[in-house]
Amino acid sequence: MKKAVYTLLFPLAAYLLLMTQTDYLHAVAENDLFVSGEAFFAETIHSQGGLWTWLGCFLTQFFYYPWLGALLIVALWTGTYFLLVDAFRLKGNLKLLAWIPIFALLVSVIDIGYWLYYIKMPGYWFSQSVSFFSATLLTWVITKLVQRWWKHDIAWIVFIVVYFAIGQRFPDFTHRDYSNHLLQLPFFIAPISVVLLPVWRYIHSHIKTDKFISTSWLDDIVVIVFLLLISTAAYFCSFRNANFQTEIRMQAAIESYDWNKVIKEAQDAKNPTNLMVVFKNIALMNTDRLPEMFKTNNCGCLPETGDSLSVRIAQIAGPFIYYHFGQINYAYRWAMENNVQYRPQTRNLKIMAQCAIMNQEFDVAAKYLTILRHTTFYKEWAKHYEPMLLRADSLHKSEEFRQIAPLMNEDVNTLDTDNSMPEQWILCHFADLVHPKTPKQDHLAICAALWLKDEYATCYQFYNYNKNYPGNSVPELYQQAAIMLGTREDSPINLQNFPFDQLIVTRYERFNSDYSSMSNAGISHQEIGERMREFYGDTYWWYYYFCDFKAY
Amino acid sequence: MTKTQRITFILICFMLLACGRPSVPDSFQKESREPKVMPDYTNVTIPANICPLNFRVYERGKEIAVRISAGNLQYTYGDGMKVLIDEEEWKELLMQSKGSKMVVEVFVNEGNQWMAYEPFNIYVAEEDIDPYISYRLIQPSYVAYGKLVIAQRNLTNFEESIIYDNTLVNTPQQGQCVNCHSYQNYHTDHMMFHMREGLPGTMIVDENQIKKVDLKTEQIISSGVYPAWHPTQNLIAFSTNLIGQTFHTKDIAKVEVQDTESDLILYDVAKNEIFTISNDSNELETFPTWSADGNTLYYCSAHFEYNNDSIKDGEIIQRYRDLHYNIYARDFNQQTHDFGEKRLVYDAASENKSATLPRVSPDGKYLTFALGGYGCFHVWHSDADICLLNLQTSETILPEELNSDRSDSYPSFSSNSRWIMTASRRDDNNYTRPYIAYFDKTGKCHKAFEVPQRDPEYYTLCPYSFNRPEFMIESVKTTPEQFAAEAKKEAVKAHYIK
Repeated sequence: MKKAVYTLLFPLAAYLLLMTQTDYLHAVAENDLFVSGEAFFAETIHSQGGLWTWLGCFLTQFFYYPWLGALLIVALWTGTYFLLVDAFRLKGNLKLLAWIPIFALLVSVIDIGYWLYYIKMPGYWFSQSVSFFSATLLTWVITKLVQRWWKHDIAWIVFIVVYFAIGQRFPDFTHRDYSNHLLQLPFFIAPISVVLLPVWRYIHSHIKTDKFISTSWLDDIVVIVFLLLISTAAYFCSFRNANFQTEIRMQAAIESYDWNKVIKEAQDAKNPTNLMVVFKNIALMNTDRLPEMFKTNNCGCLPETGDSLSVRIAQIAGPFIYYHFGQINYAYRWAMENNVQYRPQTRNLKIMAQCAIMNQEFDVAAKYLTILRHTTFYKEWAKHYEPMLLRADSLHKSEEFRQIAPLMNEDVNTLDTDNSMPEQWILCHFADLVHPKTPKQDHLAICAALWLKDEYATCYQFYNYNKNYPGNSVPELYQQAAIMLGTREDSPINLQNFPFDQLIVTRYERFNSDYSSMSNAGISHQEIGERMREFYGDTYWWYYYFCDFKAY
Repeated sequence: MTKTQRITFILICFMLLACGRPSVPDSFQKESREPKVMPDYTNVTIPANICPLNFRVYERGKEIAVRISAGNLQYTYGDGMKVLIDEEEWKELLMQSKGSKMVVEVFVNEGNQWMAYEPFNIYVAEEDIDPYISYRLIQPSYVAYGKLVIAQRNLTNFEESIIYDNTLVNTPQQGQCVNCHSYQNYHTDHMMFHMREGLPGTMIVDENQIKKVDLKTEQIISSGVYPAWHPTQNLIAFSTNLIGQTFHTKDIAKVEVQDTESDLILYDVAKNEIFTISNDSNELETFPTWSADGNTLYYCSAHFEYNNDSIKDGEIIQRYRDLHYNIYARDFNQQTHDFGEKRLVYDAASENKSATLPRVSPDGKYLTFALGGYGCFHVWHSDADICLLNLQTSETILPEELNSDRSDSYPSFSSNSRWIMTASRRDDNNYTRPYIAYFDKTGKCHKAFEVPQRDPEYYTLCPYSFNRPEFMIESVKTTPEQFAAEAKKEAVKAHYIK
């Protein structure tokens, strides 16, 4: 009984560790693709290590339900452990050493962080574990067969031969000119630790003969300490950046049109990334609260990747944000580019299908929906969209059409390029709109100008807004911007007769006087920003003076 | 009967049932229209050496029975909603219907009722088609590329094999783009393709010897781009192009590919020498092609004068709809390699159109090209159609049977001039598929058919475009590994002569 408990300790720890990252695991399934049928099999099997890739893709899809994917991978690892123990004839506490390759495989699943979007190997999350399991299984079978007539310990030789013979592909973590070789370490540790198993056994047997004192309680301590050690090490090797997880959760919430959850996630974040700010503003825009964008933190930072990986929004969420800002062609383009450059991903297929529907390219939409129909977990998703191909009313009643169509400016077609900077391009595109056509576009045009700190565009869109909505109350944010820009000496606009809210005017005067007094006292600009944040952090002025807009 | 025998008997019965043909229903209700089938093989004309035209029926129902009749031959098929034709039986049907037609009757079981649709015909021409085609398989991306393959397909069966695969040479740091495969006079012992980015160069097979050359010299604006092998001499005419692309924010054409500059050069394969054919700074010359006798070089050219030389890229983007390519020809002296003066062959600009990708039929009678509203990259222009110019009468036709309401481009003739292949986006406006039409001796086109695949759903599930489909009368003998080994070598620099 005790043995069984000890054996299950590490799988349990691994499972629990995986279950702390359920958002990430679901994103893994979204960022990979498995299509049933001969065509996908033929396409996958053709490349080096194709069988493992295919099996990897097949199993990775089960992370759609993180508990299920985690269960499968832990079962696979546990099976590998038992095969190693038996093939290498490990006894007593030496069995613990068979957990080392499993530890390495676990780390390889949870340590990659933003490489999720950049790995070029489909099915990465399972393919290494499956090929390792297969190598171990073959070693076990061959060893058992050979040992019927030859009693020598040959498991390690068999393992080396089999490990190289099965032709698996070694994962690579290279993006542009940067390679992270540290992330490859687990794939060295796993086989080397197996090959070293007979060495430990040899040393152990010699210690025993030298009358090494071993007692039951000491064994127990060794087991517990060892398992605790590798579990803790696995935890510390995992990528635990809170913003990374939040970005994934926000994206999932946007997909299900749960705008309140998106806003809540943004509010809970202390130091959001630019992408989180974009997500938050999409949610505000779709709940008609865009003028509140600076009341919630609008100061985005660069993502922390834990290495020197240069993360771009174009790759991690380009298609997604283009789509939600109604830029259908650019969304489609980046979904296609990312699918081609990195690996086929379900999320890109989904966006391509949605874009095709919004563009009324129903034949190509049908193609993508048919492919998604051939997946295990996205059949229902495809079924939801299929009626839109046949009936215009079904499309027009849909949530996405309601949200996105008002952002699609039918009159404007220009030839342009985004230089791989979606956020910058979207903001410039809307800030420069000469004739916004819907209320949503009116608000976005002025907010994009504010976001970019583009004074000329802000003034133009402010006038536009007032012209389009005469007599309407002007949102506080727009007044804040107009007061600030209108009172400057080099202001391109004259707002002397504009009926500003006096409270806002007074607050701006106080902002100026507070700034001046602190500045005169020799306090640094950055420090002033921190001190004024409490009182003015919800204003455009604070954003304008203390926030750097960094697109990436 | 022993237990083993019983099991064997049951298994055999099961297998026979599984292999059985569906039978045509005795009673059915008539539907007064042809069934919707994909690919659309209704009333197409095919060669007698083509592989089976498998298709899927897109009608409401669970199963089908399809009877194909030719002369006194009749076979029935049905696998769910798919028709998967036995290759041997298909050959018999083709033999019976050569120069005539086969009749296809489709019956669909809607659950409790069989429906019989109007039969359709498949016409079988007297003339065969070249047994091979080749194409580049590429996902229709814009800037990015990953796996790229040049593949060859045997049209008489379903075999496809790889000519070149960039994954054999790609590294994590550097991918490789491959493009513009081309053959001399439908033979593969003289062929070429380009490699860009990783391990760049032009791969040339010259009498089965492989060599990798670097065609970029100081005197020309780029390396060789769009190629045309001279039909008999060891010469290749290339365009040299500075190519850029920008993206439509709204138009479903999505991307505009433009040349800011382009010229024409002649490359002597044996001597590794380059000669300028044409480099007028106010002309964008491109897409060279030879007449079958090798005495004329046809090419496209757009007259374009920049208002401001310092912002060429920006200006050509602004004026993208002003680019109209005409087709010109220049005589070629095969002894001296001199070119005559250019003469206008087809004036597309005067019709506010743009003509690209010309090809001359091997019998010398027709010139085919892609005709669109503007620009040079018609694969992204849904208004692009294939046009045929009778070189004897100068009459042009836009054959409806060959064209669609979506992009049709990259036309080419088979070696007997009786078949025209086009890279068409008619299926879904985004993915290019090879379509072939019979072009009879009277100059009439017949309804085009999509190159058949074993699985009728293949094109739906396939993420690749079939780019630059080319006819070949034989397969490529050089293996992908041989090409890859050569690709890893340093390219030999070509010499610019004049």
